[in-house]
Amino acid sequence: MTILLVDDQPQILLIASMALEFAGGFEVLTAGSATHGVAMALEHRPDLIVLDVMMPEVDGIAACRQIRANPDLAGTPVVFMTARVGEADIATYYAEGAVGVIPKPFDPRTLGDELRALKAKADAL
Amino acid sequence: MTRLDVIATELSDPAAAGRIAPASLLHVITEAQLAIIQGRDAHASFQDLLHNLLRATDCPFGFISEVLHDSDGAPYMRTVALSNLAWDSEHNAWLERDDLSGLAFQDLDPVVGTVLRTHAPVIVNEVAIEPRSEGAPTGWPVIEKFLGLPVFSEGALVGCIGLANRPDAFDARTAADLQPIVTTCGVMILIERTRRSQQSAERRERDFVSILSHELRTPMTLIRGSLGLISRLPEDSVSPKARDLLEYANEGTRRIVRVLDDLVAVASIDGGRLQLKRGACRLADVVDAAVCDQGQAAEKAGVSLESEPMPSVVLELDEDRIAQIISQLLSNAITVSEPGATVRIGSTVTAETVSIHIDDDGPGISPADQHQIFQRFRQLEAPETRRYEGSGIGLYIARELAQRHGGEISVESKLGEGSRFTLGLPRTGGPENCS
Repeated sequence: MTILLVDDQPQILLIASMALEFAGGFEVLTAGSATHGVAMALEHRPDLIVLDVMMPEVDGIAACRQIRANPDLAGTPVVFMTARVGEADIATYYAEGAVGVIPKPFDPRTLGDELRALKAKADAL
Repeated sequence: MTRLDVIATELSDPAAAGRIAPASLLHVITEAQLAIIQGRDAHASFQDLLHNLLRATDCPFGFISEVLHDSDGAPYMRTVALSNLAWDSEHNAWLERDDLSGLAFQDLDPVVGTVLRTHAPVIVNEVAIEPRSEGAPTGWPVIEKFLGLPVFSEGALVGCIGLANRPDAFDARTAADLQPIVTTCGVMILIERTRRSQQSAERRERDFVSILSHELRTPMTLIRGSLGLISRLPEDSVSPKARDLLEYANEGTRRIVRVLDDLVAVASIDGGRLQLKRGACRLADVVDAAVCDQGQAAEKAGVSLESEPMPSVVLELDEDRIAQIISQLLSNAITVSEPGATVRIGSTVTAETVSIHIDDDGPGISPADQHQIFQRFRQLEAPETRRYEGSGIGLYIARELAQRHGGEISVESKLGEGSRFTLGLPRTGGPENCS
């Protein structure tokens, strides 16, 4: 399964990539900004996009809207992986069409299983 | 320009007609005091007060305003109630522009401004104040007679009542007759200020908790992520001692994450943003989920979990939240239990309620402490002598969640004899008291 991780913090991209490498069965793509992330999604058509929310210039919510509005990407499930996990925040992510939310700090030992479960949930919808 | 005929309480004609009937005054005061006692919405209370005041005085127009101070200390007025002077859409749009926060008048008309400058009543019976000089819509009538009354509370000028265009002239006795109402209005303004100040303090606290939680989560991602990845390295690349230390660090991060989650829950509860996701669920499944969640902790503490068979009951609940409550109660029971002890979970079902009991043989809680354990950030022991870990918000969250389901958590306990915590839930679903 191809996963595109979008986060402006390179350390978090590294940790999440390594976690998925340990989990096995993932091809991981990374982007350091929302704009780069949307471009990479168009180019590589990942199976799942994992978006950070708080990013400079274009944030994760705006990126999610761009993905939803693009006919080539509208079917790609989006997961928010974020430190903003208040009740109202989470309601917003689902309202924007996210298939799931992974709160930071995520557990690298279970990240792979969580993403597989969310992909299965998206496929079942 | 307007001409100020009379300021303060002296009048050229003391026999001027127009005393206010005591019964009318009493009605105005009674209604206002009732609003205070019942804790009615401030906006509606001030509007009602103004409405009753206009009726009692036969005045077609009036306002009640709060006196505030700008950053330079200069006083200005913000209306808390204003009569509709024009009854048209332009007027309404003008009022709604500032919504319930009221209209601020900083560039005060000389007549109205006199109340703020002199702290004394203003009585004017021959003027022609052009209201549009204040930016008011067309359609507002010219003010011909005006009574401005300063409102004091605890010795400070806190408000101003303005009445206009009474058929009879205003005089010193009108002002004197209205004094009890002015005093009541001062109390209302003071109560509203206290409420605003409390709300502001609570909002700052919520924001702080929210920011703290968010700011800690990002660095915690790096710590938890790195530790988790090192734990997964091949056996021979990490020494057994280092692996033990890693396990301690992992356990520490797990606890911090739990506290961060609790802080977010508290911020959501206190901010009224908590939303329940109700659905039909089997009670037995919810209890199983909680028992499963606490299984590892019990094993680690050497405590046995003994669960009675649960009745076959289906309830309209937020399954995750109820499991969270039971999990919290189990966690507490495990924490206070000695190794080798047993924590028991059972239930009682009646026609109206379902109760889930969690019993432990721990040290018990004194009657005085039983009243405190559900308060936020309340730990029964001082930090330096505390035997049990925890942030002191778990039971607060659990009880809030139970209450949002129309239920309650209660405790029965005796020192030295253990405790029983009971989660009681209505079988009919109960009200969802949250936004």
